[in-house]
Amino acid sequence: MRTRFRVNGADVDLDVEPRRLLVSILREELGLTGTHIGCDTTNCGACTVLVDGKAIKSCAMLAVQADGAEILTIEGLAEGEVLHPVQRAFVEKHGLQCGFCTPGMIMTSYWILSQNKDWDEQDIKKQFSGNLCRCTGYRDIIESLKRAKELARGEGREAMR
Amino acid sequence: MYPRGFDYFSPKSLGEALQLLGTDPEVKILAGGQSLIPSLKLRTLSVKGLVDITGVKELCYVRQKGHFLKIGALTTVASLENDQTVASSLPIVREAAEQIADPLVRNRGTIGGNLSHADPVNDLPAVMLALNAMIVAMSKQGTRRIGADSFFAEAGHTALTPEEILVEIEIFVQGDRVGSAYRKVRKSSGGFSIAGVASCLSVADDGTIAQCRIAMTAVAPKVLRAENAEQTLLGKMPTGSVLDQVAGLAVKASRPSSDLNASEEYRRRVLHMLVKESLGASYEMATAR
Amino acid sequence: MSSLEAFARGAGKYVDDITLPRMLHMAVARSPHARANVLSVEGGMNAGDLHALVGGFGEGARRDVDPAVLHPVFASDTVNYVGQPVAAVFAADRYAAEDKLDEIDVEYEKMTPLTTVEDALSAAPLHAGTTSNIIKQSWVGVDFDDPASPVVLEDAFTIGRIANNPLEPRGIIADYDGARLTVYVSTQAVFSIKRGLCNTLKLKDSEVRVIQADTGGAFGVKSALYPEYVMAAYAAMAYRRPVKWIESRSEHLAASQPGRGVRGKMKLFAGTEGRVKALRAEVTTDAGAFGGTAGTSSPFFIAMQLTGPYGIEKARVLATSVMTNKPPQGPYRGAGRPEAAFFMERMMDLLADEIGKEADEVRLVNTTTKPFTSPLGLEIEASRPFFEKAVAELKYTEKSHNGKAGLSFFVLVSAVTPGESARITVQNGTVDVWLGGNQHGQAHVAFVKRLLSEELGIPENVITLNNGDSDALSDGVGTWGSRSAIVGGAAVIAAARKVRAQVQRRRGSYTADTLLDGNYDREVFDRHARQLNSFGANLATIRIDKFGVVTVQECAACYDVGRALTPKVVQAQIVGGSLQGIGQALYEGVVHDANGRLLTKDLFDAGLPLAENTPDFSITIVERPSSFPHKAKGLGEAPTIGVPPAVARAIENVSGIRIRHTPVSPEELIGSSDTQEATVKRR
Repeated sequence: MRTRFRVNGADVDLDVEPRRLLVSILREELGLTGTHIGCDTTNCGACTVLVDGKAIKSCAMLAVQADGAEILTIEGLAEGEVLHPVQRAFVEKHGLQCGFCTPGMIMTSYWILSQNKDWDEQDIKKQFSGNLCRCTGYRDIIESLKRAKELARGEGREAMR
Repeated sequence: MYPRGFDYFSPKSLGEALQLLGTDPEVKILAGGQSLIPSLKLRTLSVKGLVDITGVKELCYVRQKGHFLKIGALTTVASLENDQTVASSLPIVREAAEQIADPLVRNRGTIGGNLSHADPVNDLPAVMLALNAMIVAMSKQGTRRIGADSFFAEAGHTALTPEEILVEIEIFVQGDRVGSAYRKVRKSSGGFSIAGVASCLSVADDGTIAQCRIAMTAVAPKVLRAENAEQTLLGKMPTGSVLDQVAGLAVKASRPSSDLNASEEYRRRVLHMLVKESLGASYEMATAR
Repeated sequence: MSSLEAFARGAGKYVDDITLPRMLHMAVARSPHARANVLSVEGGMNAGDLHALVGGFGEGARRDVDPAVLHPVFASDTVNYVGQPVAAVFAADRYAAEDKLDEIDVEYEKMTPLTTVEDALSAAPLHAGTTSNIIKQSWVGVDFDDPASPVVLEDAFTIGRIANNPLEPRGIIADYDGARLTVYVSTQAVFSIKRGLCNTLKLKDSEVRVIQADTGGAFGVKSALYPEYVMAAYAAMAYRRPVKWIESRSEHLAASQPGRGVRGKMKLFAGTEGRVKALRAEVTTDAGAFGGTAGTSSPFFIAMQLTGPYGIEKARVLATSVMTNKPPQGPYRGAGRPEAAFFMERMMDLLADEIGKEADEVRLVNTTTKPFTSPLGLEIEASRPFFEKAVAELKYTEKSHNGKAGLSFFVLVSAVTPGESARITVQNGTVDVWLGGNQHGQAHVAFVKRLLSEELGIPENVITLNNGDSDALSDGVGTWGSRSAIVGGAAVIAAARKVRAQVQRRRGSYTADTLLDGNYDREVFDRHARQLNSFGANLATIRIDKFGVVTVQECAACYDVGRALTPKVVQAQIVGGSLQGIGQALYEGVVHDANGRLLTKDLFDAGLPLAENTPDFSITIVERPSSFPHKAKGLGEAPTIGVPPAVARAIENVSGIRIRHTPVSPEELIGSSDTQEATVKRR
């Protein structure tokens, strides 16, 4: 089935079997292996990407459903050598250990910040209920999110582009 | 881990979608896919074909029309969570929406999907029962309006036929002296509900309860109302002992089962407390205005 | 491993990110029954193609078991747990590989499974040619006459099984070119995998190379040799095409090696002032369906640690590993240490209540003022100084009254023996390092850089720690058991000193510049066979709501790390490990029903904690240098040891209910909320 969408600003035009998941197309057809598969029951969020500005689990979406959509993956955040503020914050605040959940955490963080809402710490933690981490205990992930907000503001950017 | 093969259709209009649905129950509707796709991946479900209606953008809306709140079936749970009209006129819907799964699933999952899946642990069916919502379904034959009681009458399936698409939910938003609330408990580290209670009630001038609907989820093979409990509450003030009695009747009507996450007995105890909490919150809302 | 920056870009290279030309994907058909005779297997690659056994490689694994209890690669006559591999299929695409599972037809004759240790002890043996379901049983310690004691306390505890659940499931790619088998694997120990493959497939050392891909967490589950690895290797050799196997989460829950799953019976003999004179105990592990894994040896390791940081002069433990129709037990972060501490700490709290002393007072009475070797073989330094400091740092006295805090005190036994290997090469002004143990989130690179820059005077940015590669070193052990900074760090220093000496010999004197100018290549295996044990203490406060749901408010740690080589990493390890400890205490388990069917269907069933479950963490590091050249002691598993008993005691204090197992469920606590009066048998 012919499926056309944009990933990280580039046009994609593929013939895709309907049963193939979006995460499979990203990883295998497009070689964007930064988006990970951590489970088969839609719990872990390692596969989180943005579709039309919303963070979703790419393992629970068929690739054919992405027809006409604008997709942003972890590979699309940095501008060449320059990491996005969210990425920089995660590195600075040690918001990762094994790195496997990290792209999903970063994409969800990006989405959280793009909503520009005033959340308290417990609310923010709940925004991560679709992203599991086994290594960090989450504390440094939350710290990274807070730091990302500071960095983005400091650079005069809208929290996210 | 990965689905078996199936035929796939992606209609762009409601009319097109309806043409694709016949009497074959193995051709199913795909909306947000947050329940369907996980089942396909685990191969607990196989389908011959999927009719993906996410392209039918006309089914995505929240509108106030007079006393009615009309919600298009493809409205995502996240939209319900964030919609101002919903927040001000029917906060119970937001209360339920914001506790469904996680934010990422809510970004894709739709109210139509949540209602039509006939999953006995889903949250929105209980809310719709409590609000006495009207479910609007369409097929090639035309439109059918199904009251929530009828829609959720059976376990394992809703009143929808394989040819029908749930297109809209219509809820009468009453004015003064009405309150509603959704309360639930889920396994503390995430996952499905252990028990959930939606209640909606109206209060007479003397402070007694004039009308009441109590709906419970995750405590029976299907979502259900606690009708004896409702009857008992009518004409009374919601004192501690009245609520206790009402909650006891609701628990009597439930048929919880034991699983990994909770035993029957625990579910009953939790249900008892949730009925009281939900009714208490509804009453407070009704008398606050 | 890739750098933090690379991971943040999504540029890590985990096994599933690697694609080789002509690669096949493998899918595994698994038993739906907990116990059955296998009458026939049609389709796929199966026992008819490969008859081989696995077991005995990896952390805690034992080779000295009857081959009759070893795990076959493909089930042949019987299956003994739901999820046990029976056959494998291969296709160029992973979706098609899964479809091909439909082609496999297995005829089973169901048998009654043994799903509890009790069943297994009284039933006929599971494995033909054996006489019981006990893998190993023996006494640890020296027998004694029961001392005359005014206080004799007995209790029994159960720690449920837990799935390791690293975010990255297991995975491997095997590639054979006709002469050599090269394997890319998500692992903690390339040498365990290599030795295991050589042993099982009867290959020579020179014929196998194991390369560690970036590894997305492990916590103990990725050092063993698994049947699926052997299948992939064998298929690669048979088909002359690379074969990739990536585990699904469902497979991880069913068929990896879950940890914990232990029962402890404790009997303390004490004086009225609380001094414990003697300990009798029984430790029994539910080792699962096969021997040779860590489950075989874990009761002995638990037994050895039971006296903990206390000077208990008489102790004897009966340690037993028992087979049941469940997946074989493996190590999960802590791997016997949390169990030992839970059993002893729960008894200390019971003792405190019995004699009317505070939890810290009764422990203080039992600390040692001199180094002590317990009758079970555990060597500890004097424990009193650390304990006094910890109680003060944790503010226990204040918090026990206001917040009903739970306290724990424990020993971390680091797996020092037999040491570790390290290799350093210098060329083109850059320094490359390989360690025998393979990091998977613990940022070994950080301590390697620190130690090398200290030893050699070089800037950190010229140093690279490479992923594990069995071609890069002649031998190695693995990353587990809180050992890496200790023995990996020591090996790095030993190798650095050799390089330094070499520079000295060649160039007459040593400077960092002279080093970086030249070409050097030195490998050492730094041998150690002694114990290096360290102390830790935890404090926890909790709340219980009306539904019985526990919220941990504060989780405080005071650990002696010897020397904090990399403070940021130390913090990170403690926070991450603490949440795992909370997971064990409150949420986590992998549960089979009476028919041996797995009830734990997904990560929520398995109870993995979420961000919203995190408490406030407070961490105090004590640095009492070890005698190793870097002065560090172990760390990684400390939080998984100390947190569960502290949380258990806090729950007890608030609810008035004695806690004897983990996880503790809301169901047990409902109605005991701290809004009601709780009565605990206190003074």
